[in-house]
Amino acid sequence: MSKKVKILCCCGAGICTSNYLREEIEDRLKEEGLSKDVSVTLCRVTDVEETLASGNMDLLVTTVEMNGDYSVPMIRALGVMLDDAAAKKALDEIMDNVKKIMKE
Amino acid sequence: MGNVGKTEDIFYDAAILNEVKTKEEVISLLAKDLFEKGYVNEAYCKATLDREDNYPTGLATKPIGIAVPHSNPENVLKEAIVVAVLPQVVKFAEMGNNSSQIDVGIVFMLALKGENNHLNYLKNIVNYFKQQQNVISFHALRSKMQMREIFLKDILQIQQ
Repeated sequence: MSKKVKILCCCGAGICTSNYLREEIEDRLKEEGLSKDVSVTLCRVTDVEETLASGNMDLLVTTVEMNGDYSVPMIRALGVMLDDAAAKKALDEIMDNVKKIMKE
Repeated sequence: MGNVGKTEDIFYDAAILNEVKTKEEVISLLAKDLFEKGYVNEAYCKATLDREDNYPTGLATKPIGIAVPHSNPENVLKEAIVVAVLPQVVKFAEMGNNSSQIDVGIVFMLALKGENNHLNYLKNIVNYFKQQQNVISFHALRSKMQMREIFLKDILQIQQ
């Protein structure tokens, strides 16, 4: 039984670009048949450390500049909102990480 | 395209801002209007300005950029979106890259509470303006009524 992966999506306000990201990630998970194995949570950037700790998150995906050193892998995924090539690259990176975490 | 459902609780407005020179002026004018109409609290304007400095919202669409300033949900009393055309472009910093400046000609001020998570405004806006022709024709609009109509019908794809 593989592990359920918890992704934390964050942006400045925790409602706009993070919400956009979540939808794109969920669409891709659906395509790959992984929807049931992954959950996506939103938060604002100022709450990241707290949410990472309290939510037992596995992966951090962000649309803003962040310099912190976090306990989980971080992916900058602003590309999802730009052109299709950048979107694919960002989503591929997220999926690679998700699959790796599942195997752990 | 994102799925847009119920919209009756959201206020949509349009503005054409001539003679604005800075993003601060743009944000302040739009925020002041929303405050006077009772959609946001007094702190909203400053919160949105601060947020724009820390987490800029310019997007480098072509041939001119768009920006989607917004701030934390607690400053929003009733949800509203105002779309503004800036006939003379104004500099905004680029989302995710504070050191890069973009010439912005279309602004969407998103005063959202985050309750309608199924309404993905941002996604609809971004997808629409990935087409250069849409950027050019929207920026050329000088009728607030037309702006509002295109925003609802073509960008958000709301059936009226």
